[in-house]
Amino acid sequence: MSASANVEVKVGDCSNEDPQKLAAFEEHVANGGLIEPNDWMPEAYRSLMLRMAEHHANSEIVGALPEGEWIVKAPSLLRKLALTAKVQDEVGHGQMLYEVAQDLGKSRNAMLRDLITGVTKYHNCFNYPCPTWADICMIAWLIDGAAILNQGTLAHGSFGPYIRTMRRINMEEAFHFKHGEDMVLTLMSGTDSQKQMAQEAFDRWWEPSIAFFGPNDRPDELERPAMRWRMKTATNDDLRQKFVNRFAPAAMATGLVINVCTKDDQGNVTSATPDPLLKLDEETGHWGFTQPNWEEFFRVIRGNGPCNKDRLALRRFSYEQGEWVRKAILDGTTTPCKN
Amino acid sequence: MCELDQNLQTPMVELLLSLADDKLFLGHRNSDWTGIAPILEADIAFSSLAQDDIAHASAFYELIGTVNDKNSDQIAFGRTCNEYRCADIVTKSDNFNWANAIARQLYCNTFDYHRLARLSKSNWSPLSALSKRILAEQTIHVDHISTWIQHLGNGNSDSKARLQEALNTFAPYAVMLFEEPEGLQELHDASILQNDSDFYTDWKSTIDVILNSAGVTCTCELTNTKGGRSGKHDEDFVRSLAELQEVFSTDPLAAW
Repeated sequence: MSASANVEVKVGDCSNEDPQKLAAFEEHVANGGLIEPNDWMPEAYRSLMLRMAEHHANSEIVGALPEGEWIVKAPSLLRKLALTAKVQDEVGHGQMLYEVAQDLGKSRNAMLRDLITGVTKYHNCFNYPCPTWADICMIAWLIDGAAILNQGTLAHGSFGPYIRTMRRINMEEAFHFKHGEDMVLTLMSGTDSQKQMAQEAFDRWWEPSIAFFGPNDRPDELERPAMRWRMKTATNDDLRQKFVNRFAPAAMATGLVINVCTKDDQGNVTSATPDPLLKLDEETGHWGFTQPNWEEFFRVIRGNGPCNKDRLALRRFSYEQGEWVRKAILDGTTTPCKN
Repeated sequence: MCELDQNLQTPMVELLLSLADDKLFLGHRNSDWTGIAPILEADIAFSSLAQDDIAHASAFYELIGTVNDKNSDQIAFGRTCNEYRCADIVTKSDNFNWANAIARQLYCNTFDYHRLARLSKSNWSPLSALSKRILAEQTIHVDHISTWIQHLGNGNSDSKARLQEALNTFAPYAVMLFEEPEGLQELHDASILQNDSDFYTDWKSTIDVILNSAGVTCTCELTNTKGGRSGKHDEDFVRSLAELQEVFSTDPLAAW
């Protein structure tokens, strides 16, 4: 599972920066130039870019957890191998992204500590439950599909190390998406109970998938630093519409029904009715859709989602049970691994 | 020799199941660490080891399928507990203690290295060819785990003590890897297998060299106890099997 670097941050203004350097920087970025770690950059840019890369890295390693739990239950040798490889990829993405963030001035250990103590966040979509194998199929299809759309635009950003990492990651995400699509098609061409399992999982994951791109755009979206400095090159609402345009017809073609659902605090669906807004606007080519429940979205972001505590607890466990190992390597005489 | 006599098919399947089941469940348990290993780089490496082992198992299940005409997934997922032939060290819980995982891995990887080296000399060419191919990757596993033994043994006094304790805990399970699959002698008598040295002595020499380099030891003795190779499994195996079969068993005939 992968994630967006769609982090909400507040950055200070640039009044303390050298105006000439700032003007040259902004012109360079506006003309499509890349920023490298040793180039001059406003402190606000460094801070925002660090937080984006760190949030993205956190999301990759937390995103590995829900899928990782299903490796041991994967129902065929092929699926077991593919899922292990996919989760391994996500950890690898985390490793690369922490390197990007490290170059901006924060150690990996500090980032891992901030993650487990709740100082920093990870992507919201990983706070929802995965009660069945079909959830794993939907995550690989929908969430990785959403990530590809988002990261495709991030790969045209302004920070060199980040966009080069995005390009590498996106190639792997394309495999993940195909893996997800194959699993969904297998279920939807399977037995009645497999189809039902797929529909129930789709009902759980459709809303987190369209919420994946973050809250609705603000009126001044294009003037905000992330867009002005080309860290992001598309707005949340544009990406969401592209996602629906692509996945709504694809889902319906498999026989899945796009429902508007209500859920309880544990993320269980309590009611599901076909989305009344779902229709193609022939003029614009856009599919209509019901917006996610933003109230619930923000409740989960604040830490009160169905799985926030479990995910953080497992990351904390991983960090703590590995402390003696990392210390042994640093203390030892054998060539050290990176920490 | 590509054809296998009818009367050797059952002993061959027993032998191949012991190998494939060991590999499948070692990979299964090692994949527990995917996403939560102590260091990201170690996480990625351990996941590769798990994938190798599951892929090796798949290749041997396919070979079994050429003998008994069964589908790999049906063989891997579709048996009852007493039909599995792995030694229980592969599913013995490491309790998410990295030292346990490393000790288990050392014992199993070195055992598999010697097992594959011996099988690569088999007169049954499908077995020797596959064993030779996998032996190349198995050698990398042994190198990798040797490095970890040195990291922990030569790290600090705490890590050395943890590693020694893990080696001691897993040693009685390690020797159960040597329980012979049923009918093994028949394969020897038919010259399908031939051995020019003692399996256990070879294995013990290998681990002693690795452990000496890290200042730790393994004390163990072979026993005649019947265990996993005879289908007698402990609770940790039963739990692992339940996980493995949880989704598959909801509809064993469905495509997943």
